[in-house]
Amino acid sequence: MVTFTLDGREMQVEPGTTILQAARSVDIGIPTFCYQERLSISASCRMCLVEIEGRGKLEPSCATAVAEGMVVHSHSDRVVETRGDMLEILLANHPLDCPVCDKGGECELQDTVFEYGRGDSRLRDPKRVFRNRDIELNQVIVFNANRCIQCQRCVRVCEEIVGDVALGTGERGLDSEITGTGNSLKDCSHCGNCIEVCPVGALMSIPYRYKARPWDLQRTETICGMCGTGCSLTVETRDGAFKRVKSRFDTGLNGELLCAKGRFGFDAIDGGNRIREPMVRRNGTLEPVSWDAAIRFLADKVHEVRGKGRTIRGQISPRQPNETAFLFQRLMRQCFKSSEIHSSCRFAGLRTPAAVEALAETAGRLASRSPLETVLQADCIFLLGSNAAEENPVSSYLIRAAVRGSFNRLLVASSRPGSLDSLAAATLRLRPGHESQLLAALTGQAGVADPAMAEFCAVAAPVVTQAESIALLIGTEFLRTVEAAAVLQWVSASAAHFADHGKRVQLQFLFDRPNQLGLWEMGCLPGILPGWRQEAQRPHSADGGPGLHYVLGADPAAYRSGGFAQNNDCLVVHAAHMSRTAEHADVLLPAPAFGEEEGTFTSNEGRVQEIRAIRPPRFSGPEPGQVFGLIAGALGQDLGPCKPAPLGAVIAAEIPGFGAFDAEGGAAVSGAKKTGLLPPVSTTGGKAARQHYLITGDGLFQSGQLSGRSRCLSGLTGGAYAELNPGEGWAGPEGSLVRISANGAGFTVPLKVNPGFGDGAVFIPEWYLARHAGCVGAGAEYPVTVEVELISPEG
Amino acid sequence: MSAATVATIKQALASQVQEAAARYPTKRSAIMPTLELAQQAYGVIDGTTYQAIAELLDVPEIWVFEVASFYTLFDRKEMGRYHLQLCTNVSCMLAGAEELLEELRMHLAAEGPHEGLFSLSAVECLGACDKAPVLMVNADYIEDITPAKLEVLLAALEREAKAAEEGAA
Amino acid sequence: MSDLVLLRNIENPDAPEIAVYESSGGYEGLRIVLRDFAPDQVIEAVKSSSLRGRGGAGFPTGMKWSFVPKDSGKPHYLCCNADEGEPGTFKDRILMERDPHQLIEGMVIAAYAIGANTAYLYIRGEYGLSIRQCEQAIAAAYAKGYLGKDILGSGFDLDIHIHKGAGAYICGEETALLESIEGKRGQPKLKPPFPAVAGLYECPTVVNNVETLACLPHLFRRGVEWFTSIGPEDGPGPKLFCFSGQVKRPGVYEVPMGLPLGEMLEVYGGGALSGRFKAAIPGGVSAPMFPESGFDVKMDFSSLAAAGSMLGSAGVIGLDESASIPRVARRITEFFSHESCGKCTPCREGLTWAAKILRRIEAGEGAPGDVAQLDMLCGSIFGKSFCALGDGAAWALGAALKHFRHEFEALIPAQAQPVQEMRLW
Ligand SMILES: Cc1cc2nc3c(=O)[nH]c(=O)nc-3n(C[C@H](O)[C@H](O)[C@H](O)COP(=O)(O)O)c2cc1C
Ligand code: SF4
Ligand code: FES
Repeated sequence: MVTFTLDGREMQVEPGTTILQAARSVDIGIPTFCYQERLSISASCRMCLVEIEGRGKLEPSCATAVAEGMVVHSHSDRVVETRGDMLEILLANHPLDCPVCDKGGECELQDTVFEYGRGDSRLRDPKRVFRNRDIELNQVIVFNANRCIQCQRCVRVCEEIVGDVALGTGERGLDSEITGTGNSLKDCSHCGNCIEVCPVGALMSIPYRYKARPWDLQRTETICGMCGTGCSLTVETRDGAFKRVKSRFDTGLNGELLCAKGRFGFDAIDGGNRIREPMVRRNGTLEPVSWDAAIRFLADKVHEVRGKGRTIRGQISPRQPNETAFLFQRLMRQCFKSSEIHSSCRFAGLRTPAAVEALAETAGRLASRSPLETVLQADCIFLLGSNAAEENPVSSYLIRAAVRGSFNRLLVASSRPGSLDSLAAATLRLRPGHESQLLAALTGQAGVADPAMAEFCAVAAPVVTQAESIALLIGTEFLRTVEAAAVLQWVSASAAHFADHGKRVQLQFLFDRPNQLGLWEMGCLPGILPGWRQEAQRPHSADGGPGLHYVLGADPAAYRSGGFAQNNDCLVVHAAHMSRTAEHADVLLPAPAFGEEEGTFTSNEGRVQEIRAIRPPRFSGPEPGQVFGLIAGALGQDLGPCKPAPLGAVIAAEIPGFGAFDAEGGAAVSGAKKTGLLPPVSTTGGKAARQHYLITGDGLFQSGQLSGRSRCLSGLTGGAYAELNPGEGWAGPEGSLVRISANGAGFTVPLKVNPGFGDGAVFIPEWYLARHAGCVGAGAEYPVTVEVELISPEG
Repeated sequence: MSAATVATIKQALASQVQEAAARYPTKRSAIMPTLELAQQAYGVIDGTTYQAIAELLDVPEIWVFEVASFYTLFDRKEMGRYHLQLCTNVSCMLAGAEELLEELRMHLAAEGPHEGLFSLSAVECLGACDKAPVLMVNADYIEDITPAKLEVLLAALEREAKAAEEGAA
Repeated sequence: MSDLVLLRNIENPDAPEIAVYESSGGYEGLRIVLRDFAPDQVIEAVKSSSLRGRGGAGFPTGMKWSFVPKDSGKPHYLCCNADEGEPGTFKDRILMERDPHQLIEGMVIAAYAIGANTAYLYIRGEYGLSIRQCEQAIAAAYAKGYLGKDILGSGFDLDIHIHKGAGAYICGEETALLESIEGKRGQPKLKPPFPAVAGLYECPTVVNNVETLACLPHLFRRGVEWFTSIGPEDGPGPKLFCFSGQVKRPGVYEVPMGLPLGEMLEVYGGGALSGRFKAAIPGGVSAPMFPESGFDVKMDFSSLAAAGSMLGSAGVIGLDESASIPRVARRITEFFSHESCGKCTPCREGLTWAAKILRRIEAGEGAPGDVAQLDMLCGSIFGKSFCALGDGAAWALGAALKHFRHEFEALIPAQAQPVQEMRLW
């Protein structure tokens, strides 16, 4: 510990602490512009200068480490006067157009001038003016150079955290200007973090432009509904209408960071075609009915189906809150006497009991319930089977921030290339399902035949061996494959193996949906009760499809390979929006959209976080939990409390330790696990010539149905494409096409060349496959083998 | 320059760039030498050049632009056959450089449009203050400039350019 | 003139030839070093020579080298600062054009001392002839085994690469120079860490000026005692001074340090061009000027520092009675504002405002209060900017305002209205 004196107060701090950090820890305010936690230190704005006794010059507190016996004055006359000077010369060139500036009212320059500024100036010569019109750098970011104070926070966040290097600085001296290539942003993820960190109104959001004044907005603190990273969102509305999303700098999970989906996708709340009233299919057409009638109809169907001895199947969307999920499985198990509860139509690999059991072991028991940022402090970060850069962007930003400057910590093995590849000590393109091969090789339990994998292991093995702690970050793509069970078993075995070798191992999944973990924890899995308890009686799988299919929020028809069967007696769709599945429904029940309901989501970290409504649901009637209660009632049963508040106690009682979270670091995987027989590693994947395997998933602007309803994100997504690496010889011109076919059916999409892809892999975004190309994916196992034909535009 | 495309620039510079890059442990370091090579080859550097260099060195394009716009010797505008760079820093100023600059401006303006013959810039200290005022004509230093000397020089350059054009025709 | 050291070959047009250089004792210093000295002993010898850097800051060279860690496990780099951009300075150019091997030999010695196998010679892009001469000298040195693998059979390897600047005075600042070699905008970097610990590519790096390095061959050929016998005790050795501005005999001269400024201007500069001197800048435009009344200041590192200025780059600019100090101050301030890298607030914003006000005063559009405004700007910049560019600019302008305030005030029209303080809101 270092002892020093700050403004007359003696303090003890860790060695290496800066004066600024020490001051902020005791609420001594020192103004800053260029400083920002998480970013490299710039020390260029000179707002934070303080006086250190014995040193002639003022020193930047953001960059000066405390030394033993130092005496610091952060509010001496000289210091306060200097702040006034800096502000005076900053304002001399500033346009002072606060009345029409979007930042007015929440501007750091304004606030700092309010506190330290002199309020007058004799600098009366003409101001520097870059230009009279703002530049739209892309579809979401607009730039006003005149207001910029050159703090470079945007440039640093873009390069150091997001990894895009889209923004930079042109010219020099007083002409220095933030810009992208040719006044637009090449390689931009549209995350808007530059807007968020801009202290003034220089970088602004186009969707929010001139929409409101900050002081007129109502704020609702909630959680992003896009992916499992679970970033905090502040949703701002005016008169009930959505205006914008901001991140929560000081208190929010992941601070200032959001990705494009989180920051620009919330307008989805106003998109889509709403289901506004209950409907029942009579004589082939859906007719509006009363809630009573709909529920009675449904109860009758349940009787009828059960009478015939057929099963009832439940399908719940991983965007439903824990409370709804808990009641849903209760309805299914208690009233429908069924354990056939599924929560992601995409994870076909979870249909076997072995896979479900292995999932319970890994996600339920081994996964660390602690902040990702503390997990990331490990010596080695192993990103396995995850396309985090696209599907969990903010998690990937955190990984980038964690490994910055240390190039020997990160290992990446994934099906798709991503922005983290360049930071990794070793990178491997892996066919989904082959994760077990890699783990077996890396733990020395099997040899490697594949040369690329061998090369990866040669670099990765020493990194793993030398690490005292390992963070295992596991993606979900392999859950779509038939190898899901094997991979999960190898994951837990490997974790135990590393732990046995004296390493501190922490494991976390990177789910691409916001409440995937929560749903499973609530028991929305066949054969798994709330709290990951095994269910005594095994669900019998339904041959020939279930008699009744209750779909909550999901759209299985969009994923034909996902076990959606149409040959059922009754399809119940309970959802906010019309969908492919809803078109076939026999019973249609309205539900609140994301943003209209309360409850909790469980993030990938295991953190149970509250989601809040920004407005009442756009329909009249009971919310899903209450609907379940009514259905139970119609069947002569009692489901218990159906409102979130009392329900919390019920959940807590049934799941001991629900919501337990170790903010300090969390437990590590303990070794010496039963070494049961591990499944043999799969050896599939010898591909025939000209054959590719087709992988899919979300992109930077897509997250399933929800993102599709966002106008802003849809505008960024662009058209369909097939992404692959055509190999060295390919010199096809831009505008080339690809024909993808399987079993005689096929379609043609534009080619996107990406040399980062592995041999034989072709990626097509899931939203496109779901909407247009079911023909290729139908019924087949993942990844689908397809024929790929490259077509030059000339023919 | 108009004919150059990203592909042709890449092809033309590839081997020289490789040589330059070999002098440094990172490719980013070769941005400055590569910009210089491009400028020598094409006279001016622009968006196409940035892209070509970014691809040649496998660096973000914005890095290339950042560097190109920070350093004054990179010409982002087409320059005349002769780029006249007159030092106006203190020692040269004391020797009449600011007055010479005015004269040069007037002279060039009075001669009418020179069709790419001369470009004029006032520059900072060229490190030849003992021979003030100093003028750089393209890469060459011309020292102890006086109005009379200047007149002779401009006439000579004009003749040289004319001869070169006739020779080419 | 026979006792010239750095300029001993100045009159010989063939000095850049390696054979000519060798015939005057060239590369003997290097031979001695590689034969008789371990790297540590080289550093010790340089320390005991009290050699101080000739680039501007006058930092003791041996001490700078000794900060390089011995077992960093990383490559080490030597960078020679030949970005010479300080107005009034042209000594490094003369050294490179007329006697490039002297520099190359010095670089090999320095690289050997700090354990660098790669050195970059950063020459400003305008110096075409210097670049060509150094390129040829480097090629010749490789051919003769003074560069490359196993130099003179010592087992020591060194490659020297030239990195050309492209028009940015700030790249003379050592951390900006390193950024520039890394292919970035030439903006200074935060210190600590100092380059000796984490410099070029985050590796231990020494940056030295051309003249500093050019001293080394002589130091090792003729010995520490010889070296310390030249000039003042706390910063001895041969030294070049550049004379320009309103002097009769502008040029580079090798002059013992410690002579009074006035005497130097008369004896070497040849006296004022017209009438008397009014003032002089002792060490490039960053160094505060002296009015004639201060001409007895001794021209060495410590005396100039004690007198509130600096030896800087030893670019002496004479200003005679015909010079307008506000005009000189305006031009200097414009220079710094043009060369400001734009990183820190006070330098980027403050200097441009100062230049605007100075231009206005010069044009007869000044107003009472303008000079006080300039004082305020100098105060906001000096000691508060990120690097020494801003400091130097404010320091230089401050001196002009202090010694020649009346000249500024005289330009403000008598009838001009005082500037009103402008309420901002
Ligand atoms: C704005 C600025 C410009 C500088 N320009 C030069 C220069 O052109 N040449 C130089 O050798 N040193 C220059 N310096 C000093 C260098 O930062 C550094 O101190 C010097 O190169 C170290 O070499 P030395 O120890 O041999 O003197 C400059 C410093 C500043 C702040
Ligand atoms: S990373 Fe995921 S949770 Fe965070 S903002 Fe993006 S989509 Fe939302
Ligand atoms: S916050 Fe310290 S200099 Fe900007």
